[in-house]
Amino acid sequence: MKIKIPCMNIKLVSRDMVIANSYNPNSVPINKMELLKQSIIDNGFCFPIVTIWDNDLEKYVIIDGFHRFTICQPNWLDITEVPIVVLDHDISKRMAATMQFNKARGVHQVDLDADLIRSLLEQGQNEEEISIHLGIDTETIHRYKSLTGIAELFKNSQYSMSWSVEEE
Amino acid sequence: MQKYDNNKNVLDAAKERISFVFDNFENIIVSISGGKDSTTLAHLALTEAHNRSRKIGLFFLDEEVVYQNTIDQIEYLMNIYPENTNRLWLQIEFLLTNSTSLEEGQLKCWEAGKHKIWMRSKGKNNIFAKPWAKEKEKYHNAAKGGLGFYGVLENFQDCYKNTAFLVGLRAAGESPNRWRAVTKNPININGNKVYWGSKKGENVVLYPIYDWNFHDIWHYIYDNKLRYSKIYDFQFKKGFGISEMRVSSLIHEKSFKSICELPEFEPKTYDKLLKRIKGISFAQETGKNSKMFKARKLPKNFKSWIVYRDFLLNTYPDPAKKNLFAKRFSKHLNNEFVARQQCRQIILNDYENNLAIQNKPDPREELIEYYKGVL
Repeated sequence: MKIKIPCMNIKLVSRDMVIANSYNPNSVPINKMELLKQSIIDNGFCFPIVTIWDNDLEKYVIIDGFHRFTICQPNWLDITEVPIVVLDHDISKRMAATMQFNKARGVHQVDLDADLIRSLLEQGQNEEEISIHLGIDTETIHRYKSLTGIAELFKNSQYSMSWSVEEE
Repeated sequence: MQKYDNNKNVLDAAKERISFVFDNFENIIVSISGGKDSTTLAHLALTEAHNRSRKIGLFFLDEEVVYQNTIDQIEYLMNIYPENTNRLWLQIEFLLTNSTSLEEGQLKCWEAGKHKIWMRSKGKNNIFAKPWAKEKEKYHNAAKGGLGFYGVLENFQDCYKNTAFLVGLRAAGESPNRWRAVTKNPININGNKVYWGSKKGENVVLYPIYDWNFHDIWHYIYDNKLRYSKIYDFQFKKGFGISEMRVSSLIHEKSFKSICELPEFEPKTYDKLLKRIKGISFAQETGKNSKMFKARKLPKNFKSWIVYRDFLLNTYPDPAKKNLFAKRFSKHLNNEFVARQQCRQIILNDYENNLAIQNKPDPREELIEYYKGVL
């Protein structure tokens, strides 16, 4: 099968030429938006916004990357020229593509995530840095840090007093 | 009436109770689930068995569709004192409710002929044949059309006489109601009145750690350096409250939520589950969505719960089960309060009526009437 490589044809267009679509079901919570912003600061704009050209609107309509596009707005990083790729899709193919881009992704296995955080700590990063760059609150970092597991938390607790049931 | 004994902690009390069981019963079987409570109880009982050079049964009814961590935990318990353990690990075909799919509402675990898609192969030291005679089999569930989880338990218990079945049920744990129900009538064991158990046919079911709290359980596990299911540590890392952690079965109507976290906890188990039964992917993605499985919020294209219920009932794919729902609902009041609960039953495919419906007037309507009167 011949696979097209649209990401080889990226162009920079003015932010005002790009608009959101009307059907995007994806929502990104605010803490993940902060992480996205941090990612763009740390790594630069690595993934272009995926669009189609709409002849009626004379605009590029977003298929994927609405939240990257949001980060370009004045109240976030205020990026005026945005990188896009343009696909040639009809409406149903566009909707399917939106779904595919949003859903075809993995999750992090909890214990491996915890390993990753511990190894960053060992490399000398402090909790605050990790919290900002990985978008994880410090309480979660504390939970991930503990190698010992939950039983250890009850090391110093005392057994409670026994009780019995008796007839009234 | 509950009475505290300030001279004795729960550990000493449980040891005394277990010692009493060993004095009064020759045959003892501990039910284990892989969870923390039954791990604690099994260890207490095994220690006593070891000290007395006796043998007890460890009974695990394997539902096939469980965490790998559960299986590892059971294997660990079976091997703490193998010389004192009678391995009662049952891997037989029976019916489980699959609340995640309407088309495949039933899962036959360990179904014959499907061994290629079983979650795992059977362990060679386990029990593969029903330990009771076919003609003696009872407790068929009419709604299920066969033997369910509790049916297997009952048949299994009926294979024994004068046996003490020990269960790690805690009064402060998951089922305070069940606890009150079982202790209503004390049982007489060789002249002693026992309030922490109940008679079951020719056997007794006993709850030696009924007064333990979750922190007592964890403290015991820590002190004795016991292994426990890693799922608890995963849940802790994900921010679950310590008292609400469960290692439950993966697919029945009260535990479908555990599927949401499964890809993050045990990706391999999740992959196998996707191949094993229908509905998993949908439940995993929507399990936390209050509209779907919890039926808290009415989907926006329906104007009332009654309309939504009628829609769900009309489009229900299995005619036999559809009738079960229709018949049950016909006995209910027709209001929004009841209809929402009916929607939840259909969505969770609860044809067995496990999530009982409160059949009463809509409390909101009452409130509206009240204000109408006042104003």
